[in-house]
Amino acid sequence: MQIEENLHHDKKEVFLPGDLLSDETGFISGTNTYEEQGKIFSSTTGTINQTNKLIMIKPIKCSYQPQIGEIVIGQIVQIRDKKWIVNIGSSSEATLHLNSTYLPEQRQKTEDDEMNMRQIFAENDLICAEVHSVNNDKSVNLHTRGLKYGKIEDGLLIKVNHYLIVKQKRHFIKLNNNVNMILGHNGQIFLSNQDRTTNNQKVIYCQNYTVQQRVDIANTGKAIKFLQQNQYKISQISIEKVLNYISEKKPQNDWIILIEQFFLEQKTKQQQDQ
Amino acid sequence: MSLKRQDGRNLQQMRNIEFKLAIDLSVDGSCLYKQGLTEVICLVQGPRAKTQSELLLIEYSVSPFSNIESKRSSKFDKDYSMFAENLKESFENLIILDENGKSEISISVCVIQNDGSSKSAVFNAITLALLDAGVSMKDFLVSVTVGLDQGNLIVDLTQEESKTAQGELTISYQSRKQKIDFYELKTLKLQQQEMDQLSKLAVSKADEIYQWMKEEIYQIKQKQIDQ
Repeated sequence: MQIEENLHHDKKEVFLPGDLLSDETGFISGTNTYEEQGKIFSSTTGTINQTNKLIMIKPIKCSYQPQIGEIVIGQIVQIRDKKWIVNIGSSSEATLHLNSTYLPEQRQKTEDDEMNMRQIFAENDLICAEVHSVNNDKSVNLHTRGLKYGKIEDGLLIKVNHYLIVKQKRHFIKLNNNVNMILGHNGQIFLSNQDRTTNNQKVIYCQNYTVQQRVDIANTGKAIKFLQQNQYKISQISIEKVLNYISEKKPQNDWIILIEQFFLEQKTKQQQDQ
Repeated sequence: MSLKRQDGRNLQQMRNIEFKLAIDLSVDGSCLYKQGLTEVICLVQGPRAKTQSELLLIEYSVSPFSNIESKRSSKFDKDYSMFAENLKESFENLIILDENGKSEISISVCVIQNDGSSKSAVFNAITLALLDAGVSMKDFLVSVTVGLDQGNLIVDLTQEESKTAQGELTISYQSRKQKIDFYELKTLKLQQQEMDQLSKLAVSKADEIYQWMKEEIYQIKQKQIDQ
């Protein structure tokens, strides 16, 4: 083992746990840092982010931290009094209160609703919701007001790393091949043929799938999985880029070979640019 | 002329260390750590909503085919259960756990091949997997095994060497604080002077590994950012 000693990082961009950030007094330690004997140290891997006297570390990879307004897909874990416990993959549990669910008619929630909570969402149901608020102890309140949100079924769920997902204007997306996609900020992607963005209908009902739709959904799913394996960012543009490439080449060959060709071409392009 | 060991190494030379991060994308952090022929795999499920009463869960296992003699390890084996407790204690101090007590971290570590120094490999593998998961912790925990064989101080013992060694010392060390966390000595007979020498050697070697490991991870993470 060769060890190069006394290597100095003059332009240190990445900080690792235990790296000294500042030994002067008067600085405030922000998120992902800790203070010991007046000195501030980093506690995760990431890049430094300093505003005036506040020092923070922006992590490269961490567990999902929800923010207000983000769209998440989760699974119902438990039913408690007047609320559901939802697993959205964050560091602490998320709750969905009965009052923040959707009713087709305008009225207050009654005791009857409380008794029939399981009819709205039962255990192991998948739901799509928006983050309503984040408490001080990092637990999350969700809401499903609006037709867009609520129970999702009859589709394909894909789990990817949440840091690969690009924040976009819209997260209910209709792709080129007429597949409807919900891009959850927490790294869960749901593909189906139900269009959730139209406001005309009052209740979203499931249509029967045609064979072509099934093929399209499966292909989109494969494309996303390959994007994840190669650690590419996932967005509407990147998914459509892969799908276009496949449709141009006429998928008579094996799908997997075509996708691998695509990524090889991308990599060589990158190397040429460098 | 310098003495050589069975496998052709110098007396105080480590075996080749390799590690690979993010081998399993279904968990938050993972690491495959190789030190010579010793292989350890470690998986970390990063801070998630609590399902049990404990904040930190560590599952330590040794696969039955890892040793020369095939032997099934059990939870009730004293050596295993003691070491699992030691692991938990030292990583509880290292990891910055959730203040509110609402999230847990679970670590499972398995020795796939044991060719000596497996305990120090376990420490290093867990540290790397935690780093991959992005769990917030205070420092690196680096571990090393040293020994005394026929009057010579040697580093990173193999299985064969640990059978004949007079003394075998495993430490885990926090380099920045210069603090020894875990200290295990297996010995038949050892003098005070030799003991001091062993400790000093272990600390200096742990420092070297720490520097090397840090350098490697800087390069890996820098690449990720550049992408």
